[in-house]
Amino acid sequence: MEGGVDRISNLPDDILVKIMSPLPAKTIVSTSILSKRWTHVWTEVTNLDFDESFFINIHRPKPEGVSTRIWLMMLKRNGRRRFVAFIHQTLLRYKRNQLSRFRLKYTYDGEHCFHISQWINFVFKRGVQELELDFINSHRYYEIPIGFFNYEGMTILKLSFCLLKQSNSFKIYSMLKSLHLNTMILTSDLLNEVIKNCFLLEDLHLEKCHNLSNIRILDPNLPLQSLSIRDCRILERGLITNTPRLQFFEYFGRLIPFYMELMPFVQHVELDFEHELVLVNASEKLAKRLWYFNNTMELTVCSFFLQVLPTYKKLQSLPITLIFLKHLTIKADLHRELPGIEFLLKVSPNLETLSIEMGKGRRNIGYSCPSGTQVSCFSQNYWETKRAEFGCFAHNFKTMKINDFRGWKNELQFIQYVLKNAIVLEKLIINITRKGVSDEYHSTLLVTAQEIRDYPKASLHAEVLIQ
Amino acid sequence: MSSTKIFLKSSDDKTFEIDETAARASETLKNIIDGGCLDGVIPLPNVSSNILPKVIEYCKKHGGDNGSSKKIANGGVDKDKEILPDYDEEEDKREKVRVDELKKWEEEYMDFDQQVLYDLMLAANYLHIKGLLDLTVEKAASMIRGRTPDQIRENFNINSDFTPEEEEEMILIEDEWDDEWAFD
Repeated sequence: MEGGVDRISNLPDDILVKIMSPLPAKTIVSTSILSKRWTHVWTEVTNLDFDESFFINIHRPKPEGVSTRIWLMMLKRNGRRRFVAFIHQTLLRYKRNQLSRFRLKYTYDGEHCFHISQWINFVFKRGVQELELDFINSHRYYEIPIGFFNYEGMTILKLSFCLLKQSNSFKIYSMLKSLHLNTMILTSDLLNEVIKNCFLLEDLHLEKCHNLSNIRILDPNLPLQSLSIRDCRILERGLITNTPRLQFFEYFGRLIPFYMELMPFVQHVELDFEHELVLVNASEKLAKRLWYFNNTMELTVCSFFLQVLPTYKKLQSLPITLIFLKHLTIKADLHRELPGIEFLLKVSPNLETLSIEMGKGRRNIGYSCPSGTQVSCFSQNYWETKRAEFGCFAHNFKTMKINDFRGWKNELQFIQYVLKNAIVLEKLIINITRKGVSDEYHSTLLVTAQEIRDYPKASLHAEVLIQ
Repeated sequence: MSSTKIFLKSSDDKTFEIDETAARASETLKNIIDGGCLDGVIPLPNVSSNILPKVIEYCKKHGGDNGSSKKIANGGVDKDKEILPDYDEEEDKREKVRVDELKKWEEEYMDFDQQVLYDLMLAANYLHIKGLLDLTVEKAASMIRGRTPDQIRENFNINSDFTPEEEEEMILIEDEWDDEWAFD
């Protein structure tokens, strides 16, 4: 664009501020040296995003005679020091009274604790609405200062790698809509107290909060729509909820007790249990979990779930019908999970799409095939003896997706079975795996996948797409 | 559904026609229409005939669908609906298709050079078309993101009007780390 005209500098300040606001603070501040016009524009931006990684230049050439370990340490230390100084400089020059969003990403090592609390005060004074403090992978947990809970203006709060202590001065978070806590030290009592005080909470995400023994969300008037719990060990006293407006539920972690009131509007559910050891009553517990989500439209379940569920003797007599389920995703190897898959297909008459994520099967110690299965569920011929026509196959089942296709025999047999029986199938989408696969093997898999095109099909319109 | 036609006059005195429903995508035009001061042609002294058709194209796509206000309603404003969510899955599916289609349309629509970008941005600002302003601002931001001041200058043809001494001084200040922490 040689000889072009500089038009951006002639834009009004409010537009320039709008352009810059979503950018990282380092870029925003650097615009001050573009020309005189730009010197002060940045001081009115509405968001400040401070990310340490912009200050640590690991590509800087290492002087001779210094070990890599020491050099890296020095670079990081130097970068962090410049980062802290930069934040101070920036906040000193910042002019706006209203700050919408503040994010800090910093590796905390116990130093600058006082400064961080000063920054927090600074943004609170400017009425910050979205606050994210991310100390992930720090050497220490950052202790949230007393008085943090006196500020009520936040709508979004995200904390990582912090220590939250019980505070007496608890305010009602009348504004908070979204709360994300990742790798935090806090007690169940504190968490439950916080939740109780957030009248408008819509979105709660808890990840790796290992000190929690239980999670209670008991106010049915809470507008909670999304609840996500990931790897929070051990939660031995379970998850106790009464959240009638919940739409999105995600649980990753150990099989814990769930005590949940009905959620009539739940749409998306993902359950991924990490157990290796099959406990007594596990199957009964799983069956009850599934019953909670009778209304869901999208369901994702793990290998463990599919293996253990059908071993529950009274499963068939439970009133489980996933009448609204349209999209089922399973993480499996199509091996031990077959009876579980069969069960889910049977109870989902309106299923339209089945997605299979291959290579996510798991061996569970103490697992045995459900009693009453004539053919071993490990058998590759499992489907040959099945003539079960699933309701969904006759009416709604239109799409099957195989992600990370591996060309295994049991996998091909399942595909064969579906193609032979799914009358209204429109698409079979196969994504060939790239995980740990040489180019040569990849082309072998491609050939295998192409052979699927010749399998007998019950549906005239069924199309096989290979990606 | 027939719609009243509105006429817009560009800064260089050319007249363009637009449906009323489409015109309502612009807050400014909406106020004029609702204010009842509509008297034949609406003059837009800040928008030239080069850019006005492009603006109208956007309005046609977005007028009447109220895309942005719907999002806000889902955010919890519409209380009655929350208590009794009358969930229509077909509607939901159509919505998804619409969103995908719109994204593709936007991508094609936004494929133009920098000069158009500013005109469009200013027009969107003047006419209060929030969606269009967001789109253009986002595009400009992506041209700054991850770039050094020198690259930004080159990208936008910005001439530094600092003296070499000033520039050197500024770089020094940027690099110098003040140990005075007091601020508030």
